[in-house]
Amino acid sequence: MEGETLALLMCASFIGMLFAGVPVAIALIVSGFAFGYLGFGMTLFNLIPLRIFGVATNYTLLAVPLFVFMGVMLERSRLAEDLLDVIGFLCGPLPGGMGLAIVLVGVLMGAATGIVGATVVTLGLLTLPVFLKRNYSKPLACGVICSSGTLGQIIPPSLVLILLADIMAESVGTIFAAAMIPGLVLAGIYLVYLFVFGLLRPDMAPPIPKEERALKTRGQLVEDVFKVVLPPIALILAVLGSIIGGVAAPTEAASMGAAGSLLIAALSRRLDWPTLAGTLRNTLNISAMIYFILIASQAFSLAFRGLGGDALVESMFEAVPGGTTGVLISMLVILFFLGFFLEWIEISYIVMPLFVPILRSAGVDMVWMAILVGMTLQTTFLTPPVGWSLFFLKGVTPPSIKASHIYLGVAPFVVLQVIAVVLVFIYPDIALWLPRAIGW
Amino acid sequence: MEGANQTADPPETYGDDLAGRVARFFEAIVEWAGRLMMLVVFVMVLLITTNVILRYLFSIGPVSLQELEWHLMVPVALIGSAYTLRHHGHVRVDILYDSFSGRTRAVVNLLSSIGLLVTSVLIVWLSLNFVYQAYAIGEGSPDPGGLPYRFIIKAMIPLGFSLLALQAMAHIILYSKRALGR
Repeated sequence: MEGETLALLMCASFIGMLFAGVPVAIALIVSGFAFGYLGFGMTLFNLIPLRIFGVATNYTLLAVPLFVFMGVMLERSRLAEDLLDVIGFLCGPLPGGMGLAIVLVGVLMGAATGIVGATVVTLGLLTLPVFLKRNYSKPLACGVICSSGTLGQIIPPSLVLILLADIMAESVGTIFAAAMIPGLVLAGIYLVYLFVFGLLRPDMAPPIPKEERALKTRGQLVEDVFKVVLPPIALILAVLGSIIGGVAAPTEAASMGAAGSLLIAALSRRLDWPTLAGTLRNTLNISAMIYFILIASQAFSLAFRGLGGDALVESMFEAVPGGTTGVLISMLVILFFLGFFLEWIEISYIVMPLFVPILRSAGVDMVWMAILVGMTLQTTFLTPPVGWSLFFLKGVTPPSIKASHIYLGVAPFVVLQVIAVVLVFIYPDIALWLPRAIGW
Repeated sequence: MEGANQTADPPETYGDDLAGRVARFFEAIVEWAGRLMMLVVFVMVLLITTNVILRYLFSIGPVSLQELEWHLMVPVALIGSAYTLRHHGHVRVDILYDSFSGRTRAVVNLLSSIGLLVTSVLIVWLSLNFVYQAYAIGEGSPDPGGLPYRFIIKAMIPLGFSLLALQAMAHIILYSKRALGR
């Protein structure tokens, strides 16, 4: 059989296994080995140990377990939960105030962890009961939780951006700086939408009642702000600042974030043995899950390239009209659809390397492209029927919430996302201004 | 990523027959290796933090301590994968899977465990030579002051995939029982 036919069959079998419920990494490694063997025999895989060693020893990827540690520590020590509570009170009197609070916390937590699963699950567990108690409309509540929890994908420091920087051969600091304004624009669009929604339909997004707010004195609130809001925010700003300011490499800053979360938890007397052990267990599980997908994707991509799969994609793109812009748009569309059923890690490591050389030689700005890709991938997290954020939320909701509530709720946010991507596409300066302004 | 694959599967019952005892023994090995890795994660976090502090405050940066950072990451990534498999932490797409019957799920898991076992054994076999070459030439760090005996760290590849193979075998026993309805 022709190599390229095998490459197509390999992709088909991978997607087939994926939908049958085979774990992503196992589907990758099995389809890679099976079809690579059919095409070449075992010789192709002599390179595999070196590739695996390359992934496991990559210095930038070392930031992954450190950021995971920081996020899990903030979550398990319940610092994140208290943060939410206080911000909810601060936003209390505004229409749609709770929703505004969730978006703000989503931004902060997302920035802190960069782990969508952790953020969406935490926000869902902690805020959905409150939303329901406050008589928010169910779809609105679900939409807010999913979309703000997903903001962490684009607001630095995020794992997606670190991997994209690696693939595009750009510095992580540049990519982080470039993602900053688009991420904030997106958060701003969300806030405006919620505010307008709250004004027009106060019945669906009622503010916290006056009587309840009266129970908490101003003094208590100020004290809480100092005790639970400022430390995590200071930590996040310190980590972000040192990366973007170029003082520390992401891995170094991540280690400071990890140690800082440990310190904050200890100072607020939330650090006990179960918290630490649980944090280490989750950190190991989540990090190993990510690394195993990266390792498995080495077998897949080795076979895919060996079988001429990249030439296949390239020839497909030569047929696209509209020159470079056409290729760029069609790439984003393809990523969007792939994002329905692939994890962003596979998309980043398997699909992106096929596009990068073509677009780089066409003179496309790699930093701009990284941001467009990041935002597109983030959108796919929210898109029904297969969005990772939707699954994460559904895993933790009470039975009164149906999948249809979640699907209905995220729909307007998907539209807002697409608007933001189009804005960055038309005005590249939204992404490129900040890195230029600070001299990259 | 957590929570994505929490499905209402029945608790793990290996039974008391020989196969069940073998499976539990394999899982115990993976479990203890994983707990050791939890400790290594903590040491790694502290080590990287210490290195950063030493460098920025005292301008000390021994190559050996820098290299130790990723020397710790390699076992965490490779041995951790088996531990994550043991605790079903590897993410899967569950749109259809959620609607499958218990037996269909067992069949899916049985087949994927067999696939993983075969590929893991192949990778162990492929990587032995990789490790042996590093041993034979006495490979160490190319940088002065770096760590010697690089074959030990390269040996984490066959070790990690051996543990994955053990865990896959335990799951084959579990899911074949479940698929047969026992």
